[in-house]
Amino acid sequence: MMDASELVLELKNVKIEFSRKLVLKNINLQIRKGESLVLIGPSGHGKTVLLKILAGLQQTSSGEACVFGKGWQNLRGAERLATLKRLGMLFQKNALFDSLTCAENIAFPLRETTKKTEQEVQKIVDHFLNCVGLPQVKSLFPDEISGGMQKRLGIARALALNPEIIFYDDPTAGLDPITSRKIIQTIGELKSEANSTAITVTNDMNRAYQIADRIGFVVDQELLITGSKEQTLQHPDPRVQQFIRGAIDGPLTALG
Amino acid sequence: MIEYKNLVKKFGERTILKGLSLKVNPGEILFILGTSGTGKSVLLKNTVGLLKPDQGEVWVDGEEISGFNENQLQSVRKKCGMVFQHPALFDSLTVFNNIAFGLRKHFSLNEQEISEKVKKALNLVNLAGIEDLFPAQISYGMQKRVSLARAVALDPKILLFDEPTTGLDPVTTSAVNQLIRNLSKKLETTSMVVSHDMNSAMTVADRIVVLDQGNIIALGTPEEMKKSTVPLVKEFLFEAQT
Repeated sequence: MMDASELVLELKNVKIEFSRKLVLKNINLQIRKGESLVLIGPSGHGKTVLLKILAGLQQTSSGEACVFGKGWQNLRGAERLATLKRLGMLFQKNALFDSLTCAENIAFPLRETTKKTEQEVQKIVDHFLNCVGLPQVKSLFPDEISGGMQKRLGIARALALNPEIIFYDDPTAGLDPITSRKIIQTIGELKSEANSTAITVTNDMNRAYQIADRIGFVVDQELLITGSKEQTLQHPDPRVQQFIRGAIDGPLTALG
Repeated sequence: MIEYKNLVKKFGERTILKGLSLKVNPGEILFILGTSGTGKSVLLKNTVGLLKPDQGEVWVDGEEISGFNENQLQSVRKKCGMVFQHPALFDSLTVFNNIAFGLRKHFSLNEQEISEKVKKALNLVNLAGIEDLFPAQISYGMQKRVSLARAVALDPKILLFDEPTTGLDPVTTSAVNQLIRNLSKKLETTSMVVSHDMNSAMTVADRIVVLDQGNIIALGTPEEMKKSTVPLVKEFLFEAQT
């Protein structure tokens, strides 16, 4: 069993309001080093907001969000920057540099934030392009490859810095099922290798089951930890059951 | 209704479509599946002249359109309702004007006729009464439905969907699938849906075509797909179930 000293992320009674509109309340969560937590839930119920709070990109209205044992609101200047360097983030929209080749997109953060030699940088670039199945696009620009390939390139760039905690916002949206499985498998393998922690937002239940140690269901402004794949499949809450089965009828409204 | 003959499309050195031939039957819902980067969206864009083939022919409603100029393409696009992954609504226009925009551009209708068509389209997606709201005032699911209403308001013979359920949660995905099926059958359109979602294809499609590396590797009904021996089709089905 892991002990409390390995806690890397913690939320204590977190509440979020946007212009007085309540978005999330009573959020309590502890994430330990090496854990893989997957956040699922209906669109617009706050999964991405929760991810941003954990990553220090969103302030809480009340309560406390901690990373590596320190409150995000107390981290300033150099200390904040040093903390951010230990984190990786993959955004919903890949946010690639369109004026750089695919290889340069991965090399850019390595050159900017590490002291690696050019030879080491090239080796890492090649390795991660291979990991995501894109060795052939090295010298192409992002607009010359498909949407799915751009997604994989974004993942390669996020992984190349070897972060301790990685946040994935919908990493397989827009990818075919085989590529999706491979990407999640790659994410899982690299996570085990580095003993890093992964927080993943997804709408794809099969991929959630594939990678999650624990699943959290963000619904009606709250976070419901539904547990492992097996526990989630048997969870008594009707909202959970409707969601994982994709049923139109039930307490959750579709297209409302 | 739509036919591609020996379609070749290159981007620089890379050949995306490698002599693809395919007939889409009138009134059917055809799902286009395949690995990422294999030319699914490229095929859809060729159908409305947003991309032109390097070789081959594109037949839409009895006309070969690959040599058409922009003016001629307008008449093709009038027949096609397009729905994108994101709702792509104009955020400075009300729901009414979002739907009326295409009607005003493509048809000479008076305001009353436009108003009737907008109302009819909103009724089809169960959104009557939200004409005066702006996109930012309605939920993402409702925006998605408005984008469907905008596509069907033109009384299209053809509906083209580019990844309509990508990024949606499972409940919303089911609801969008039901809407695609109901609208296509009710309006008797020929519908093409580019998707990665085998489960959606199996429940909504009349036929499914699977592309790999610019060629068709499987084509048939969902029932036929279940019996397919093509490795990629089997893998897609496996991933959808596990």
